[in-house]
Amino acid sequence: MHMAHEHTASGSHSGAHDDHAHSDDHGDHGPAKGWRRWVYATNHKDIGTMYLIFACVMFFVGGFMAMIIRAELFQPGLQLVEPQFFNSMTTMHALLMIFGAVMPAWTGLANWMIPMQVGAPDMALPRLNNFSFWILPFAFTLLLSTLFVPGGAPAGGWTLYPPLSLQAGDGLPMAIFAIHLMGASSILGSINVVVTIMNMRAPGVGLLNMPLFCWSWLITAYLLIATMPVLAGAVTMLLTDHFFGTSFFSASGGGDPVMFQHIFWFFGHPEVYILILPAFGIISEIVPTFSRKPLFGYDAMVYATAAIAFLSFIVWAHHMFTVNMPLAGQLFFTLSTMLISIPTGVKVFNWTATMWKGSISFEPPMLFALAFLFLFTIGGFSGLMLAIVPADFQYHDTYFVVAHFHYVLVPGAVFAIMAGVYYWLPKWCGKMYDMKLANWHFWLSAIFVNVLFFPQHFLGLAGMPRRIPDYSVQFADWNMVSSVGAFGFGLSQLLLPYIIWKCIKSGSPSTNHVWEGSHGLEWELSSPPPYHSWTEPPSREIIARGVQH
Amino acid sequence: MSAMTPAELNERRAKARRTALLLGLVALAFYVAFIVMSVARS
Repeated sequence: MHMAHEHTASGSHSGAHDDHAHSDDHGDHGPAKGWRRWVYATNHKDIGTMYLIFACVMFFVGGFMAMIIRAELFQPGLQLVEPQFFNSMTTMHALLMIFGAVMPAWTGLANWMIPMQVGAPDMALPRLNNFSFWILPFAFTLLLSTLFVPGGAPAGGWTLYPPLSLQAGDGLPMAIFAIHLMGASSILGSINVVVTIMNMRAPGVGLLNMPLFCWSWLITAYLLIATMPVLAGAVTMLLTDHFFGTSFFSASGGGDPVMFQHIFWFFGHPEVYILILPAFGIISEIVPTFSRKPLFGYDAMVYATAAIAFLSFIVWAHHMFTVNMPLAGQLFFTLSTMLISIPTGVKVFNWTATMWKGSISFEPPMLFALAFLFLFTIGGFSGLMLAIVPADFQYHDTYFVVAHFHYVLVPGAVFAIMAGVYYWLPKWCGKMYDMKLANWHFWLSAIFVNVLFFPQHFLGLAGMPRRIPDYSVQFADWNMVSSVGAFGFGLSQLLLPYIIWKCIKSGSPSTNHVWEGSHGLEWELSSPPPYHSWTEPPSREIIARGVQH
Repeated sequence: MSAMTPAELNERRAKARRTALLLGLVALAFYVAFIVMSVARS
């Protein structure tokens, strides 16, 4: 029932199906052969594929670290690893998942979809695109190699707070350089996204009729350009404090360790939205498709995304209420944080209104999108609890915080990435995946993610601190449940690469529109799309058909 | 919809380059500004 009618640009438009007989910046040819295709890649689809594969690898490496953490926490006492290594695992898990898995996955999806959605042949700056990607394997090799140097990998948490982080061994400068590289990659990738959307849209594709995935990425890119340099500045100063005798954050030299926290979270809170805004874009594509209705309140969705991005810059100190800031500061950051629930609520209600009286079907992308809607909202609500200062004093640095941000990032960002992959995979490779297996993947993920993270709310409320490998016996039961959930969730993720591999190898051919209710320029291209997407801008008729707002 | 003329293509390339440079400078400004701010404060 998912297969759609064929009224696409197929055969009627040279841009959609031609044999690449054209000339543009990046050659009038198909892909190069062998390793050159990937190392010298300038094609947005090739680079997008590499980003997605890289993200998948990092997801499993970071996931393996999570398994070590949960295995150690399976019962009280120290069983498997040393406390120092445990803390390295929590630190590396976070860095890998945030910078290695979720962010590159978004960039991969942006690379694949933005040119196709705005009617462009490729990203605006293809060589820069190649450079942005190829920085990443070096950055993460460097970061992971800190596990093998004297002193081990950084173990002070991904926030790298001094003075604790400065007590690390030889791994510290390596990790700082790796963070600089990741930041450079993100900034260059973001510049490419902005330039592509602002300069490469086909005539007729206006800012207020382009897909919401493009909008959410455009706003995310601005956030990245403004905040990644702030993180780079913070870790540069950390480096000079450690090696060059400066005292930015050293109290003994007249510096202020709390200043690091302010600078870090000025980056860190927008970073949360960098991880989640593209998810909002994808959900805004999927819900209308499987509800067979136009998105409710397109303009409001755009403004809500922009409002969330703006507010993300003025809420940073809610991460550090316990540093004893003035009452006025506490009130300001509480209220500004709560304000974010308004545009977020606009989004949740608009998605719900889109489904209202729709002809809903429950294919895997929609299942993941619905799970996102419910579970991300749970993460949002626990965030509101954390915004209340006296309550935060109790919850701070407990497992309640761990439960909160994992609800936002796993059934939030990660489920949205999976929804996007299941939504566009048939378009990318021209084949349909095994629906039954994908449904299994969804249900196992949705059940185990709750078994994994929901008990952590109880643990946190009962006072279990985070980043400690041992705990009081009163926390034993829920920790065991959480670890069982973790193993189940981790194992069920192995289905994803298998489903993709099986789809590419032996999937049945998919139609161009793939989903009955899909709208957008990407669906006007063939499945799989040609090597360069829109070698000629799409005609007004194609745009009118593709754009539904 | 016909393809763009070479002049239009060149104009678009120049505009893309300008936008990219501007955004790069904005990123650099944030990096430098936060360090300068911290120097001034410490």
